[in-house]
Amino acid sequence: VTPDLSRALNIAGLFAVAAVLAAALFDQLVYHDLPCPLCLLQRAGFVAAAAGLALNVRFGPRPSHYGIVLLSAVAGAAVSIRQMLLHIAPGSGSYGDVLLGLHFYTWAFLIFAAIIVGSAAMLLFDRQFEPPRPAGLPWLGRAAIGVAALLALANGVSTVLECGAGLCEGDPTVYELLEPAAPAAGG
Amino acid sequence: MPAYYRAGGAAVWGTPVMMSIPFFGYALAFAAMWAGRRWIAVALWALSVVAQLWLFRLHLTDPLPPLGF
Repeated sequence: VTPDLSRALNIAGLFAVAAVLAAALFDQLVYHDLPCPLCLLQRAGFVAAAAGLALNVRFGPRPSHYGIVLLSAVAGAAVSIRQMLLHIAPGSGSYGDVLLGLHFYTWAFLIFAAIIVGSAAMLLFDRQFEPPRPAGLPWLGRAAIGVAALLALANGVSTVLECGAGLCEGDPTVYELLEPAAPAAGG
Repeated sequence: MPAYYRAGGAAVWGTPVMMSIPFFGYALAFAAMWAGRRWIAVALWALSVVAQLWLFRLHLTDPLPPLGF
């Protein structure tokens, strides 16, 4: 795997993670499926992994960038595993929409696992780390980083609208900042 | 710093822990990458991950949503 091929694969990975984030936002905005706190933390895990991929795209492939992707995916997978375990007992219900028979948090775990396996596999190819690092930044790379940055920002704004300046409700049904304020707790 | 902030649909007094912090941190990391500042981007990523894990800890024991949601 040459540095240029590695960069191309990282661009593809960045677009794939961006597609996951875009699908989650689409489901939220079109089907009004408001994300719970754990759902938001899984999205944050995807954005964090995207940051590692973007570092590879922007500055060339480095083992430390893959480390960032791996740590981010592990952090995100921990959240999705927690959410799966919350609902694993019969009769404990579920949260959110279903896609192809699996809940979004189950899909999130599978995708985080794929990111971990993919990044570990990429680390097997030493030639990508040899100098010279790829010069310049192709327009596709710029586009991938731009899309990922916009999705991170969109999720931040959406989270502020949903949760205000504090923690989110466990079972959100409305955007807090778009609803009239309730009286202060305790008068 | 304590202040009035909205949480759970009500105004409450306390130190706000914004759920959106990691997203804005990562967005700033992307901006640093765009500007060619690698170490700033990595530092912002690290701070955001810490915030994300702290929020995970705060939500670790959330109750289950009502059945049938």
